[in-house]
Amino acid sequence: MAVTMAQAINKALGDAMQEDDRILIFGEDVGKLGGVFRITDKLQETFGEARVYDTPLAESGIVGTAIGLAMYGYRPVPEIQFDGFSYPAFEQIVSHMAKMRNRSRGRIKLPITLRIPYGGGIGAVEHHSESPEAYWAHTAGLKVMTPGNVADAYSMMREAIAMDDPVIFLEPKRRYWMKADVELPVKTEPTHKAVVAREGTDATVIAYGPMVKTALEAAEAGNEEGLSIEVVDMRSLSPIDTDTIVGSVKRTGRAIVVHEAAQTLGIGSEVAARIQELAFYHLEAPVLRATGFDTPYPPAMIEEYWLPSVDRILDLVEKTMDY
Amino acid sequence: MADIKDFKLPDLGEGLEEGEIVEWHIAVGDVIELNQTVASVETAKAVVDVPSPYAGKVVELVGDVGETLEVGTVFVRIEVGAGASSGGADSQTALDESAPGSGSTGLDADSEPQPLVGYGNREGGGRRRRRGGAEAQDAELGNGQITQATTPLAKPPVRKLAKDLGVDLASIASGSGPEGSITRGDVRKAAATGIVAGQMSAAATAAPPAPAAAPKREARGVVKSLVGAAEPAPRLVAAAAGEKPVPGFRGRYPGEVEQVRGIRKRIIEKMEHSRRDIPHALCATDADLTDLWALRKDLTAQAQADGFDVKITPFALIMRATVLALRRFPTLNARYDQQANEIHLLEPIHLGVAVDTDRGLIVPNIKDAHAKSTLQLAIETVELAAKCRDGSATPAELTGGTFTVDNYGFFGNDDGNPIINAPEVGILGISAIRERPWVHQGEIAVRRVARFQLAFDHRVCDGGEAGRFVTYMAELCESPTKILLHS
Amino acid sequence: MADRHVPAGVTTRDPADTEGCPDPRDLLPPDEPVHLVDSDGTFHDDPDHPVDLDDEQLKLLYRHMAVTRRVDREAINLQRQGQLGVYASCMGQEAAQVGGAFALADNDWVFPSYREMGAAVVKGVDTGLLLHLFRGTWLSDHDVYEHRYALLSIPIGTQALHATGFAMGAKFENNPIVVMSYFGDGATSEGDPHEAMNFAGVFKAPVIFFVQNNQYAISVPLSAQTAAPTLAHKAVGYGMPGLRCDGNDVLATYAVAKQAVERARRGDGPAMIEALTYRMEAHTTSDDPTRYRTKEELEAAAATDPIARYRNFLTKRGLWDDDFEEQVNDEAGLEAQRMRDEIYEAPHGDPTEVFDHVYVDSTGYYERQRPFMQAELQAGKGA
Repeated sequence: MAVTMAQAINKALGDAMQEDDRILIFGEDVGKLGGVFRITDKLQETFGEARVYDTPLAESGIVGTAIGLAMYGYRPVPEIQFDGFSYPAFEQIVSHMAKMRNRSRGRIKLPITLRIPYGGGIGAVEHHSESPEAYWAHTAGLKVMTPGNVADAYSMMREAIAMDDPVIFLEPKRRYWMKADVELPVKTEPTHKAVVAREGTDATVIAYGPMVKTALEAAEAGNEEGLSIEVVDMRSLSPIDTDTIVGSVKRTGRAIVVHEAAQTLGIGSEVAARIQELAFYHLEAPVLRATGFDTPYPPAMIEEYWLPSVDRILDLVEKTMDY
Repeated sequence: MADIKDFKLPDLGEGLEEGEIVEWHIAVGDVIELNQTVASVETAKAVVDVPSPYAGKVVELVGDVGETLEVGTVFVRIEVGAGASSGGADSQTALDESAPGSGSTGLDADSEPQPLVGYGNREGGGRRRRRGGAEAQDAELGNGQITQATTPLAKPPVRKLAKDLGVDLASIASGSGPEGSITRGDVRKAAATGIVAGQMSAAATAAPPAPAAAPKREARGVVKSLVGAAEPAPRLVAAAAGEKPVPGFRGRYPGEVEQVRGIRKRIIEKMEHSRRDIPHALCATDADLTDLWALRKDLTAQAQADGFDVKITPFALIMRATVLALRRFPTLNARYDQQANEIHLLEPIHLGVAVDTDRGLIVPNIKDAHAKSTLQLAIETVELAAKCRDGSATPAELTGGTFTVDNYGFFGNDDGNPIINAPEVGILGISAIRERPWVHQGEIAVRRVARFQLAFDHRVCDGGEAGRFVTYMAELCESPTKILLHS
Repeated sequence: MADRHVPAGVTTRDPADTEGCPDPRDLLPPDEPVHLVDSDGTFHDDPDHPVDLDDEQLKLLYRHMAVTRRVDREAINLQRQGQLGVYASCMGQEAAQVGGAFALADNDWVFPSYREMGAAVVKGVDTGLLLHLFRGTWLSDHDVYEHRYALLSIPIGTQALHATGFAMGAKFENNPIVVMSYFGDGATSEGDPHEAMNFAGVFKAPVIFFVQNNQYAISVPLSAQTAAPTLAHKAVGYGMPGLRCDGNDVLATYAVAKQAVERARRGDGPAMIEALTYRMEAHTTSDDPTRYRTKEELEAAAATDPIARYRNFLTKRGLWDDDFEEQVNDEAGLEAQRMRDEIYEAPHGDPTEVFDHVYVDSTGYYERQRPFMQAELQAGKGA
């Protein structure tokens, strides 16, 4: 039965709310409208305005009150409407949400799952196509995860909500309408693990979120040309499943990391650092990164030239084969 | 024994490293209370009143008024338990005290900037310790874990050295570095014993391509994994008795270990499948190609006069003949679909040509060979072979063949037992064209003779058709004018 | 660890009660802040602001303020003795804090900033534990659920949102508790208190925003902080009443706070209280207030000292005697000693503890750094 990623997340939210009364969903337009991407569609109808409610237009307020609610004993699942608008909540996220357990010496837990649609490729106006994941992954105390396929979207959301740690759940908005034949509910790998999405022998392409599909397409195209590309879906950006990633690179000897976010100090830098540290003797070539450029996100008409493409990935794979 | 406490000049959180005693508020012998002001200490411009952390009798005051003391040095010594109570001191004074706490420091050019929010710069706190914390990290790095190395391990500079010296890392049985990795020493030793690897030298001469040169995918597929520039002919070195073996054909030498990957892996898969799943049968006919042979020079001259820089070889003509023969015996240009339980006799002839390259056997095919002239077949054969050798053949060129011709005569063989290129149903082997004694026009003569050897899928073709195919091939090639007739 | 309240779920609620827009005049503060006790102790009864306390409670107010001043002074001394990196004194603000917190019931919560020693004393928090933040042994060390006193919060005003969220949580399950959110005049310029008050108004959350206007945000005076006629005038913008009281008058503060707290408990929504007071000490022990305020100003403020004033009141009421004074002094001294015992030379714990509390579940985390630090510590031991 074909299901979109949006539907899978919607079902995950509903199923979770069914099983646990303490889960609350709130944010801008999530109630009556069901969310600008319909991710929270019909949830207010089903669970009532007390558990699914619209907030004033105030991102810091959304996250700050979520913290208070979590301290009280609820399990909040708030939404930030778009990646670019998570910044007003930055302080509440990094100064409080990430730190409160640590500073209370383990006495306070904040089981918050903060949903943020992210990434580009949807022809949007400014500030609606950001990839801020590095800020969150760099902040100790947060868990950061991002599904790359429909089944993972369901399974990882269920797991995130059940966690007692604060989670930044990054939803690749350009993949919301991606369809797959999945019977829900479904349980995939635990969220802290990366997964080998496609096996190969010549090089490992490491991707997450919206770029997983692109990476798989690149592997398929590469196969036509005799390149055997292994694709690793990171799934978790904090923690990073070093074992799976490094294990793959030890087999292939080559690594290319792919993300939409700008190159400098992106997730690729961390992955490359770990690979060269742990698989130094196995490397046939330096770790390369197929990423966005070190510029602000471009206007809609130019984004296709800016975002990593199948060709950009394969060009870098070939480059590693040349060493 | 009296309990004497040392009160060291505290770090007042001002980034203080020293303080000047402005005034003593107590004297030796005084019985003081907890928090009683002992001294006024100057830090930068303002003065801080320092309260005592102990109640008791003052035993010693260190430092005179006007003297500068370092933070952390003892400046008051108090015998505790002697006299005043230690707790609840002076609450009334504290309650009445509404003057602001004295001693807040200002900022001036001579003092360190005040931190406002903490202890300040603690120079004294930066103790050195014995080095060695990195050892723990080594343990965690998994350096101790020897991974089952399926590929040679070597750090990047060593790989480069190996390339530059022409040493194949796979040839070094075990490295002497961590995790069994190969060291510079290992490489130099290998190089010194005169082992030259053909495989690696190609890469050594090719610089990594600039990213700007990377071709667009839509334009053409680029199969860089097959990179292998035209390489120098392997140096033939004579080995002295007792020395390690020297490289032979294509730089291979006894003792080397080749990792099975890429082309070799595919070849293995295909050969195993073919031999395992296709019942091969053979039939052969020898043919007198003297006349065909004579044509080649003329045809070549013709081609070049027409502006085509190509040699028309007997093989080109044989390919033309093959096409004709396949038309007459279509079961040999077929596909057996086991699942659908159907045998498809294919309309187009995409003629596969076996090409011998350094990386292994590659079989590109000429699309729609039935619609191509001898000249075209000749040109395309040359082009395809070159592409296979330099690694730029496209997937389309490498797949979709319907029948293959295998010219092992190029190696000088008189016979062969070719393996069908699945999913085709037949492969025609062509031997060397050799001068032999032959019966020609009733008499023994010296003629140029070759053998056509057909291997066919006996499920799909019967001996009757296969045998006649190969005889017809001989017929066409013995009388090249027949090729012209049926084209 | 104290038992945490586990909410039973969420009951029905009306998200934005629109029983008609409130009349702004009902929300604006009065011209004069509520004032009941003069400096000489004279009490002015105000029927609009009753003080419903018996003699024991009236004496308890004094005890709390006296203890606050005493432990506050002790903390300053500890800092001067090198035992704390820094300390933010609440001297002069005892009435504002104690009066406000005294209006709360046992189950009500306090969300402090970092200067609310008085509120901590009222709630019964071990004040020594609060000092670990300033000493640097850990980032905070008290159990918030034990006395319902949340963590000290340093980023200005951010705690107001936590208070609002907590109050919303209570409201969602019809739990009749009230949350008191403390912040200062400077914080009212930050965005988070604004968002907190807005949310509270929309959701009718039972939270009292207690603004201690101590006239300064470090060195920046109120006049540079806002152009509003008073801070309490801001409340009308959130649909809640803005109340004002003389923050150095513990009874006025108590009366105003009590009304606001009970109103919130009834379900009538949040309120903002501006308590006018004065920060007698520096912003923190590292600050030098002589650079931005005059001695005259300080002396004038001292004349309105809340504790002296209240002592005079108790005397006039016949509730003050030597025994009581001694009893309070002893208690204050004991509290101060307890604080000193907790903090003096208190050692820090195992440095690798930094790895312990980052996550509830640290599965999958790159656990290489802990042994790295351990190895460094081992190597250091041999030095």
